This record gives sequence, structure tokens and C-alpha cells, in this order.
Amino acid sequence: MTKQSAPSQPPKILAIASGGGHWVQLLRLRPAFEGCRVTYASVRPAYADDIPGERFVTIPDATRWDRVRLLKMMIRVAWLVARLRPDVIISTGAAPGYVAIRLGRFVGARTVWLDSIANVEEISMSGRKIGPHADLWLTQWEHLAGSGGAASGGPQWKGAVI
Amino acid sequence: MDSPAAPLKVFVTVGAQMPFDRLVQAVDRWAAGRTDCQVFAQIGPEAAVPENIPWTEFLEPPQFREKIDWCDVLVAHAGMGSILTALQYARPILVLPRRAAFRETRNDHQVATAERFRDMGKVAVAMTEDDLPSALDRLRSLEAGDRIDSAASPQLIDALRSFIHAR
Repeated sequence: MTKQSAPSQPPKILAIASGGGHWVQLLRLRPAFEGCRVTYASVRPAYADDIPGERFVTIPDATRWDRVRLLKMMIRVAWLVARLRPDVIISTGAAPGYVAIRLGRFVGARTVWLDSIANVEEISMSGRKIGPHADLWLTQWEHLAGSGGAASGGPQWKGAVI
Repeated sequence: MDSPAAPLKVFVTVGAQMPFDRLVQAVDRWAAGRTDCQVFAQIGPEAAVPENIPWTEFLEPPQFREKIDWCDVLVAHAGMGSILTALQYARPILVLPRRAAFRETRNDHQVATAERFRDMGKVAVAMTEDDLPSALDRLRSLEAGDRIDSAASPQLIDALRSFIHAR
């Protein structure tokens, strides 16, 4: 699979999340993106105000329980991933991040899923589904490292958003 | 004679996804006739309308931040967006967790979140709406958790940076 960016170019990142706490947690990861070319994607246009000067794309809000909106969201995210061809896709959940990470492999992206800090007792359902497909699968609670029932050995713990 | 304390400014928020009538209605009843507080509620979509307090369904992020800034204390569902924002603004926050049994959310993770963050000293919790009136009476003496800055832990940032640049 050809690489998207020449080694001398800064990595291209797609940082994608649903609204509310998912978006708030994604924003707290920004220092990790320094020096990179980042496109942010989330479900409310007004979130662009949180990241002045950065690229922001609005995607439809959808959960797995609404098939029609889910399809619209999947199409939009597929188009975004295909057009952007990111080197790295990072998501704090939920469904849009799942879709982006699953599709990311078709453009050679390396992917990160950071399970929400709200999931204190067990990994989220989306996390359990996407974890084995992500190159880096993270939980924010040390006691959940290695859980999630995955043959891959479950998520790693490398700290939290607070 | 002591002069009365300034009215306590209370911002109620339930997130943008679903209403949370159990919380909003309880605060509405508690606020009836009170002059020692000013309450404003963001009540979510298709919610029961409060009778005693000003409200709105949604707040766009800039207006949401204005309300957090304006308030002395937050009363909220136990959503991470609300909790993290309260901590970033160093506002005390009292949460009532949504429950799946009442069709307020899909699962009971808010209960676990509320308990864990209470045990870490970051939020106050009313586990049921019956606990709310006494918790609301004590709002003025609620302390905020330590203010958090705007970034994740250095450990997590470093782990992500290493991953991003390892190619």
C-alpha cells in the first residue's frame, strides 16, 4: 500500500468524534497533533469555533440504532477518508470514529481508538467492536487494560484525558 | 444584621441528545418561589417545559460556555461533556445519572461514571431524584474539584505523539 505522505512531510491526521463528551475529549488530545496537518470532523458545525484556524468538517450525527442516518453518515465519512487519505485516523468514538477506522485500512491509514473516559466499568460496545481493528486501542482506565474480550489482548492504558 | 448573600447562579444542563425531565422537573419544583438563586436550564429536545425557571432546548458551544462562565454551580446529567467542562471552568457540579430503566439513555454507564468521579472528589452526586432537593439545598457550599487544564495527561499525549510520528 503506497504511503499518503512522503517521510519529509508532516503527517496528515483525521481527528473524528461524535458530539458532547466525545468531542470534548478529542480536543484535549490536540497537543499530540502539533506540527501535523489535521482535519477535525464532528457532528455540529459550531464545534469549528473550538478550533479556530483549523480545518473542520461536519458529518451527520448517527448511532447504530438509526439505520437511515447511519447510512448517510457512513457515506459522508467514506468520502472524507477517501478524499483526505490521512496517514493517521484518531477517534474518541463513537459511531463515526468506528466507520472511519474500519475504512482507514483501505487508504493505508494507521488508526487509534481512545475509549471514552465515561466507560469506567467496561469498554464501550463500539470500543469492543473496533478495538481489534485499530492499530492502537486505548482505554483511559488502568483496570480496564487487557479487557474487552478481544483475542488481540484488549486495549492498552497510556493515561487519560484528565 | 447580615445582608443576604447574592443569589446563587445555577446552570442546569442535560446535553444535546435527549431530554432529562426527571432532573429538570425536580430542579423546577425546588426553585419555585426561591429568591436566593437564579436558575437557567438547557433542557434538551422534546422536553417537558419548566414552569418556574427560564430555559432553552439547545445551546451552541459559545453560548454554552457563556452560561458555564456565568454560573456559580452546575447541575447536570452525568455526561462527560458536562463534567469535563465543569472541571475546566472550575465550577462545582452536582450530577444526577441518567438511567436505562427510565429510558433516559441506552445503558447505565452514567451511574458508574458518577460514582467514580464522586470518589475522585470531582463531582457531587444525587443518585436519585429524591436525593436532589437536599443536594440542591447544599449547592452553595459545594466545592469545585481541582481545575483541570485544557489538555490530556502528558503520558497520553506522549503515547499519541510517538504513534503519530512512528512511520
